Amino acid sequence: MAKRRERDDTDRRKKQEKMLVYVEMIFFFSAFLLLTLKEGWDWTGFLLAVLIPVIIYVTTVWLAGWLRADKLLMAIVNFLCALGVLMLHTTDRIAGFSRGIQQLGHYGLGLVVMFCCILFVRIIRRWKWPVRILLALSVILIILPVLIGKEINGAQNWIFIGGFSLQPSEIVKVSLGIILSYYMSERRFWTWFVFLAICMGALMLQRDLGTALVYFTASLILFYAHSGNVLLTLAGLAGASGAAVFGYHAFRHVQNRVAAWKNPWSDYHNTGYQLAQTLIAIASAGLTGVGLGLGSPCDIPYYFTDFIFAIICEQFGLLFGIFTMVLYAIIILRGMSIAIHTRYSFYGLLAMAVTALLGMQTFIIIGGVLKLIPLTGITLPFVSYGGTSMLSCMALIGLLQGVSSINQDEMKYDSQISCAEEAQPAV
Amino acid sequence: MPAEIYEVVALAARFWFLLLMGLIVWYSYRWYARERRARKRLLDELPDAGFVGEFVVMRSTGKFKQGDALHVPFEGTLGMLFDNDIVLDASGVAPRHIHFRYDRKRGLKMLPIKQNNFCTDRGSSEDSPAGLFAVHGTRLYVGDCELRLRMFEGYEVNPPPGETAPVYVPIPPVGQEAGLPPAAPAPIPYGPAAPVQADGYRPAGYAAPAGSFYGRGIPAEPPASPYGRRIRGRFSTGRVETSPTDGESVQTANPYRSRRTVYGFKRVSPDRAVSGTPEPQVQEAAPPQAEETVVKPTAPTAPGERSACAPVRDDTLQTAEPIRQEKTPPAAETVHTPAPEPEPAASASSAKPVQPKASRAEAIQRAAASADAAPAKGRTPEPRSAAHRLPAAEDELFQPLMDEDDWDSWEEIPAPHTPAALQQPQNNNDPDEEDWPYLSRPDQWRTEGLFADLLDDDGTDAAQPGGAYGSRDMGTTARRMLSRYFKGGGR
Repeated sequence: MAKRRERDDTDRRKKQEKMLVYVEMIFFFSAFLLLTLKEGWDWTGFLLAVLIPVIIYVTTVWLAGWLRADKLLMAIVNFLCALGVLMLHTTDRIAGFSRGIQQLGHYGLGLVVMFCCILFVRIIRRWKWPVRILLALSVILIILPVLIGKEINGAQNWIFIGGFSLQPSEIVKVSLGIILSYYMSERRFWTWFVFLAICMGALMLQRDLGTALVYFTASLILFYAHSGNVLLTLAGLAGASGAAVFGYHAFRHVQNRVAAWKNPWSDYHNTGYQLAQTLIAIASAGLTGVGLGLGSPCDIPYYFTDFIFAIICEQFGLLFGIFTMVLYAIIILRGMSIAIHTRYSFYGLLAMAVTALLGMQTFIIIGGVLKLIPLTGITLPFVSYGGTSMLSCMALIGLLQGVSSINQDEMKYDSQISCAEEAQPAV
Repeated sequence: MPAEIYEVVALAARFWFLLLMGLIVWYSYRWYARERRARKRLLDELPDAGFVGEFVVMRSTGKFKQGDALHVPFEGTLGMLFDNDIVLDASGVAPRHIHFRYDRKRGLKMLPIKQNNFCTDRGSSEDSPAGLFAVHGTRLYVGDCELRLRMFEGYEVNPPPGETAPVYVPIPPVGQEAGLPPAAPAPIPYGPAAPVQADGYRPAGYAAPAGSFYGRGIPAEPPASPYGRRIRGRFSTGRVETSPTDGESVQTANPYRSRRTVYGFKRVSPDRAVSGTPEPQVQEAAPPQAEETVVKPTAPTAPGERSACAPVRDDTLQTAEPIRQEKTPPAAETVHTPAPEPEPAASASSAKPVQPKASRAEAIQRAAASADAAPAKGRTPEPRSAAHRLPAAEDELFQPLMDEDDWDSWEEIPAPHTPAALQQPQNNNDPDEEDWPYLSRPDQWRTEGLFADLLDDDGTDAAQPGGAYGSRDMGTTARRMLSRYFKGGGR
């Protein structure tokens, strides 16, 4: 009787898991079909309406099971990535670009990177030399924009090689998590501290303050998770406050952004235009939005990268935006759960680093869009347009998935040696 | 589609998309919450999940008592502060003293933090800057505490670099001197399912140089006293002469005692909390000189240095503990011990060579081995676990004359299985239950109420190497774990 009940529970659980995937598939099929019918028959929209649900099903149900990845994380990440493709395709119809298709390519490439990262974490057992190589490459990459970088929007954080543009700070973000986790777990303070100092110095020289803020806050969270030292963490926080005050007085564009944050209407046509348009879009959408494919998303500068959350709120409504934030919160909670349940400190710190990086990036950009904090130019993970951003975020999720799969292996081993075969490991 | 119609459809579709998004969030949260609950429930049923073993407190001046167990995770720190993975609040222990990490192939690697020091029975942290590896049974001396590692998994591990592989061979039983065939080495399979090592085994590969900690921790077989050699040889010879075969009648008179009395089970020494490292043998010529444990300072403690190596007990020297144990033999022993008059305790401990009482694990092994002879006496042989098939020393039933002075009187006692005894008229193939000379099989001990307060559920006093939990019933496992680690209390 007990076994039958457990089997029924397992069947019900699997059914509920598939329900989430089916609902996501229905959501994107109906959304892309609606856009397909907007102005005649759009074959691109129809292709996306078929392709996106198939990708969601295959990656969430098949590939995640094959790689023992976390299916919940996979389902949420797939939803957010597909949501980015949907929003970009919506604005493409208005602005006449093809960013939706490009983002679909980034999404597919990101899935490949994610699965490689899962295998990377699962296969590599001795991280000494991989981390050393990553450390050397990261130092070179983070310094490269200072030497040969091109300034875009006040930040010199892009390099152009052979027709391809690259933002090295997004790539170093992935290696930062690995390097900090490894050297913290090895209790080698100066190694990771010097590396972090080099990264922060290079980012300050590039005037990429948003990424520097993400790096620093994630490192501080990681340090607290590793040491539990409240005093030193508070000291780091105080140092960051001092650095913020120094940056405010040192950089002119920081002063402009703070001024725009305090009152965007004071300089509406210049520095406050971006934020004012964002607030207008969100406010005009109300709780349920203006409708998919409607509204004026292109009035917001950089609607496809930094302000894509405002477009989501405008077209789907504030409730939908809140639900999107809940999905990000579930990713963070899940990441912390994975970090807590690891057996080894390196994997725990790695999961915590990934969670902190993604969480801080999400908080900073959504807080900036909603005028909670001064706006900084970073992307919304998984949703914003950009190949480097998409690849780095998917790589981070891949690292998290790899740690999760190791956790599952450990719990399976525990269940086996305790003869508790019926017990299914959760994470 | 005309723009007006599309606008109407898009406005209507807002609610559809909102509904689907609500469902997605709801299903996601339910998925997350359900798996969190499932994981919590699973961890409640597997209290050892995430731990590789436990440190059993053997000696401590702090608030810990002898026998307390401190769970050891895969990786972490040991120290006095509450945020350490192993909190050891005792004098001489630094706030963060040791960093440890478990290696499935080599054991628990321990490194001192900052300038702190510690010792194991393999050496001192000062002499091993690369770290010390601890395996099942390793003693750890940190501050004023003496801990002993008891591993749940990875019992058989590879040796540290520079040492040879641990090939376990049995210590030759003393009965071999009387003509017994040599016991074959028992191969211990590698892996978590390896059986529990008997105390009579020692890692032959770890031939540590004389004078090292490890060398002293596992001494060589001490020379047997003339008395012991004579008595054991006689006893063993008697057993060999009468080793029963199928259909052969056996004696029914039990010259020893009730079957419910087993020697060596009266004392639960904290030293025996972990099996796998042999109990120190008592040397023949060592005089029982003191009533306290003999210790040797092994590493000088610099003034002001936090927790230098604690003095390590020298197991090669005789301690008073076995002597005290032998002063109070079980009542049943005195009943069946023939003639000799007991000596005063002072005289008994003054000059006589002392044979330490068999440990609990040894006695279990021996009893299991003696039970192996049972099928020849009419019982149906049943497959037994590998741990029960370990070759046992043949001297296990020799215990009672520790305090006796008139040793020669023992010579007059007829051997239990002499041919004369077998020819007694009351002998038959259906022996009386109370006169059964052998201990019943270990799997019958629990049903017969034997050693209920001493034995684990697996019939030993040690954790199963493959995990401390080995039941198919998870509720039983959980209750047993609670009882074992929390003394019946809640978590």
